[in-house]
Amino acid sequence: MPENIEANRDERIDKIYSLLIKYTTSDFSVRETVSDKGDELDAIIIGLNTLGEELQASGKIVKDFEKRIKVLMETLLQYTLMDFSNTIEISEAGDELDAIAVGLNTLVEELKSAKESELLHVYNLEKKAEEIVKLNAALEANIMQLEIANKELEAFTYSVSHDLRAPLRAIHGYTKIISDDYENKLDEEGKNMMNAVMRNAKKMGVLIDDLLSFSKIGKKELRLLEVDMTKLAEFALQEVKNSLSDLKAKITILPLQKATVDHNLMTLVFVNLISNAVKYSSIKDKPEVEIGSIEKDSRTVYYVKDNGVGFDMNYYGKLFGVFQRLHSSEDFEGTGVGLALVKRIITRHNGKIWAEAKLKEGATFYFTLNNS
Amino acid sequence: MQNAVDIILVEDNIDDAALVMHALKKTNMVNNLIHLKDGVEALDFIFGTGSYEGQGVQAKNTKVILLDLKMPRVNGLEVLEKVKSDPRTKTIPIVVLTSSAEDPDIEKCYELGANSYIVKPVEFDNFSKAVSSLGLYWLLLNNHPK
Repeated sequence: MPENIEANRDERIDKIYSLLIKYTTSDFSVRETVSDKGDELDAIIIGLNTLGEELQASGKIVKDFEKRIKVLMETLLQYTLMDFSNTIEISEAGDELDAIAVGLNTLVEELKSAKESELLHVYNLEKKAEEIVKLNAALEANIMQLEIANKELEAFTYSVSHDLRAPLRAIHGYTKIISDDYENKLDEEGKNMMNAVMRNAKKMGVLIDDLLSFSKIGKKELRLLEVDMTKLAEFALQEVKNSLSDLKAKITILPLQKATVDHNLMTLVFVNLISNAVKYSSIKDKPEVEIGSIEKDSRTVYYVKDNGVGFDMNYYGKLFGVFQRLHSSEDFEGTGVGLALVKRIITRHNGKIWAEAKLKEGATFYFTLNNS
Repeated sequence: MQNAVDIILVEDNIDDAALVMHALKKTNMVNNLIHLKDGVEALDFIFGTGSYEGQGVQAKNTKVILLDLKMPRVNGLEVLEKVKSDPRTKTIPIVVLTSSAEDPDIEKCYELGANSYIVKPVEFDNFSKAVSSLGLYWLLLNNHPK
């Protein structure tokens, strides 16, 4: 018996050894059977079995973890490549890894919708770019048409100045020859009519010239220089005096504020305003014209004032229109281009022009220049 | 040489031509004037080609050519260029007559060697004055190369 027991004991110890060896090689899957002896060897075996079970369980957890971390890493890698197609499966463990996974999933959802709206944005941008290209093309077509229209206008202007004047020359010339060479064959009425024909031919010539200079002003480039406006007004006055046979108006030029203007065009402004003032005051006993400038709202306002016939403010709307006149040419000569021309020049200087008048008492023309 | 031509008038508009001649007549300068109706006729006459074939360069002693710009077939600018670039004719004074100061060709005329440039005024008095004074100037006052 003792020997048998001994032998049995050795055998059991061997089993314990081999179990331990398995465990040291990380194989925790095996268990040893517990005998019915209830001795210390059984206690060891029970202890080892329990240890084995626990180690096996925790090994599984570690492997699980490794697997889950691997999935996480792979998915993260996809995300860094902007591939948001996969989400991470949430385990039942509810542990930190799951928390990370939930966090990542939420982040990716947000990234996805952000990317979609970005795509939408890019799409919209592309659409807008397309629209801009289309608009640009339309604009270029418009510009081309404008250029063509401009060329046509230039050709038209040339044609007007050239072709319309030729027949006028013939009309005026032949009429003049008839009234000179056949003077004794014409009675007084005939002579008057000949004069009327010539007067009208001449007037049409002036009209054509005025119309041309009006159309030229719109095209001409401004040459802006700082100008002594007092001297400019004096120069303009001299021009007006040169074109008149007699001038009875008393003309005063007060010191004017300097301005940056196109000298030639601004001279035209003063020539027109002064000759208008002289013309419309000429029937007064004591015609007076005053040219000056005042400061109003920190801006210089130039004015040309006369005590002439003035005009009816009811027709103010027509005052600056081309070929518009507020007086008959029987009373006052004119083509109705002067003030339209003046307005165009002032507008080209970024300024404003306006007038105040009272019938039979006079008129005042005011203008500002934005670049003064 | 029979009847040397003093003035060559190149003008397609018969009325303008008649008025120019009328104005020159008053100052007795129209006797040796020839009126040519466009650039082709003008060049033929000046260089003795076409219908003036065989007559040689006619314009050698011409005192002035009055030249309109806008003409059918060969225009004034072309006539100007041909006459001023030919050594046989380049010393002949050329006065360009045109309807308008708006003419875009004014500068070109001078570049091509025009001696003067006159805008034909609508008013006949002025027209007549302009034509007769330029006739006087080129025919009587100006010293021509011999």
